[in-house]
Amino acid sequence: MRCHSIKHLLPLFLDGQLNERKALKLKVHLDGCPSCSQELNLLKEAWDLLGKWEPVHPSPNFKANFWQRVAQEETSLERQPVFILPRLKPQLVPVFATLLVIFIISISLVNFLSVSHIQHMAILTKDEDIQMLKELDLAEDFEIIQNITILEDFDIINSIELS
Amino acid sequence: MDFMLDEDVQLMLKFKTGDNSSFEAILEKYHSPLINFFYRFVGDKIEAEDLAQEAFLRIYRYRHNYKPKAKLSTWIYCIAKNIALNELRRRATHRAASLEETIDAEDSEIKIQFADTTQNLPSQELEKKELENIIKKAIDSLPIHQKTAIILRRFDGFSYEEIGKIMKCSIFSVKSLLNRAKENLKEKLKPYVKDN
Repeated sequence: MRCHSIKHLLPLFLDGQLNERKALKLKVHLDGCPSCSQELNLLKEAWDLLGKWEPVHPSPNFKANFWQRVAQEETSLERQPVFILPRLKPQLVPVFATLLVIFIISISLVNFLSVSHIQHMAILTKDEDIQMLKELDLAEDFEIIQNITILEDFDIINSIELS
Repeated sequence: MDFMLDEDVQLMLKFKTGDNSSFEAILEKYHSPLINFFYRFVGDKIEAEDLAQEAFLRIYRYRHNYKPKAKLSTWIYCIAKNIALNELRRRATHRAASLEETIDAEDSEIKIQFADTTQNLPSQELEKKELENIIKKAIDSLPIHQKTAIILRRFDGFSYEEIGKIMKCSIFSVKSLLNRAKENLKEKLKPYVKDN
């Protein structure tokens, strides 16, 4: 094994993570290599030095404070008003609001378009009505003509009676 | 399914069914390790206790969602790790914003004042505090995942496999993270190692 690959394995060796075969090869190398041995010592001492950072002792009221927080949370949950809608995650609120605005705009747009269509139809219907009225006039004229014929017949009958 | 034999898993399952005394036992067992876990991240006891309370609140709140898939400690530390990483990210964002504010207020003599905790301490105590600060700074300078891996391994004594489960990565990644972390720490602590 070369020094470069040995140095790569040193942290694992130090942590007991090498298999027996590799560990043995490494030990043989270390016996004859002062540079790698020094590297291993430095790693070991740095690792040991971390242990000088002593742990802290929890405050005596830590657990009491925790139960107080639990009680506060449970009280605030009880006081919360009941919503018909399921509770939304805070990050989903803007998405929900945007969807709501899009929905309202869509409904308004559909309504607006349908009103415009009705108005347009109304305009069209007026034209048709006018057309129909014109046609009705013609019908009346036809009836008058027919009536005139009847009148003529009546005149003829009258004139026969007179004669 | 070895983890089903884990005493803590059984406690959590009992708590899930409404046995609050089981949670008391979990709180008793884990409160000190969790406070210290956060302390290694943030370097302040009061803040560490606050973060530990948040972790226990989450365990308490999400008890109904708990499904045993590993040892209870793995689940608890996974929650704690997420809280710690969020806190570090929040601090990084806050620090960036503060720096911008400092640049904006260039003329208004805003200076950050750090409390000198080493004042009035006996010389031995002073040396100890100084050494702790050096170690804190060395760990703090590590990239976030190397820092997490080294804390879980060095201070909480988790195995590589457990660290993989907590950090949601492979054992190979854990080995690589720890190797780089140890190399970095060795370089940073080299001057102090020689002194010792």
